[in-house]
Amino acid sequence: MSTAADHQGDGPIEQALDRALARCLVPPPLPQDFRQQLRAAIARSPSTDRAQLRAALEQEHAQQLAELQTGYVRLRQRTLGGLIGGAFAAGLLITFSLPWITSHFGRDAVFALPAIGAAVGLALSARSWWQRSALARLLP
Amino acid sequence: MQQDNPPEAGPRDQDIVELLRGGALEAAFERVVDRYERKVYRLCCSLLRDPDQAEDAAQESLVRVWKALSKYDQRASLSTWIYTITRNRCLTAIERRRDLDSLSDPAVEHEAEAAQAVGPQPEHDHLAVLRELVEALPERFRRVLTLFYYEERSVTEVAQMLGLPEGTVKTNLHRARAALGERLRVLGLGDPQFWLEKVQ
Repeated sequence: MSTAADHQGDGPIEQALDRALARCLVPPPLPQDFRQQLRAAIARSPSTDRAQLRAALEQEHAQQLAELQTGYVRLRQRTLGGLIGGAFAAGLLITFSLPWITSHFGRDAVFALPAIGAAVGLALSARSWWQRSALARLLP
Repeated sequence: MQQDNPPEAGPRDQDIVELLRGGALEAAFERVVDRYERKVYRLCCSLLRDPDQAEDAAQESLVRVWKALSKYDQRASLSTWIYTITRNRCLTAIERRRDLDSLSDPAVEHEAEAAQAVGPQPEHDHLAVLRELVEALPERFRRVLTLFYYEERSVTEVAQMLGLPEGTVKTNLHRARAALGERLRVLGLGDPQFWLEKVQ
């Protein structure tokens, strides 16, 4: 263990001072009921301090973010799947029904199909817009 | 004259760390308290210079140690970690005290000082004079000097407790003693024989 022996001067006044200081600077005794008070303080203290609370909240927040992210990706995948599936189904339907349409409505029926699709799309958009604006009116 | 510290009985830091690794948190804390309660209290006394505040600070420090013990990651030694918590707690107490002092009414303070002045005078023996001279030393010297003697002249322990390099502790000790010697000479108490007789 390192001591100050090598650092302390060997002069008589230093030696005398060292002994006098050792006499007057005695370590303060621990209060008698220190241990009991400490146990009481631990019992009184909340189980979580601010840092622990913060860590727990950050963890909860991270979990919620991860769940949201997962849900968002799942929704996008479902939407994309629906669109691709719908496009394929529409293509198949047109492929099989085109001869029948042409025979009944003439050669210009080919142009009628995109027009009908556009009309349906516009109708869906208008309905969605109407619902949103109706919701917006309900908000304060 | 100089003495090495005797090997400390009771739990060692390594035993406490082993208990922590084994998940025995309460047993580990019991040993922390056994080993460090006196040292923590002495450090608080040295930093705060008020036994009541030191007791509160020591208790709060150990409560913090208890709360953080499960997260102790051994990056620093256990003693350094505990002393750092204690020092931070004491610094907070010092700042709080400074804020309260700035709020106190000077007239009330003056009355309190006057009331103290008319009370019984303390016995002014020569050791009391020495104690007063130590109290009057600059803070960095006083802390090092008091802890050095509290901890049975261990520079290493004082360095750990105050978070200072050992060289700084030695330098401050040397300067503190030099300053004390000088003030004693000014007071006409610089005769070594006189002090040797006083401490017989």
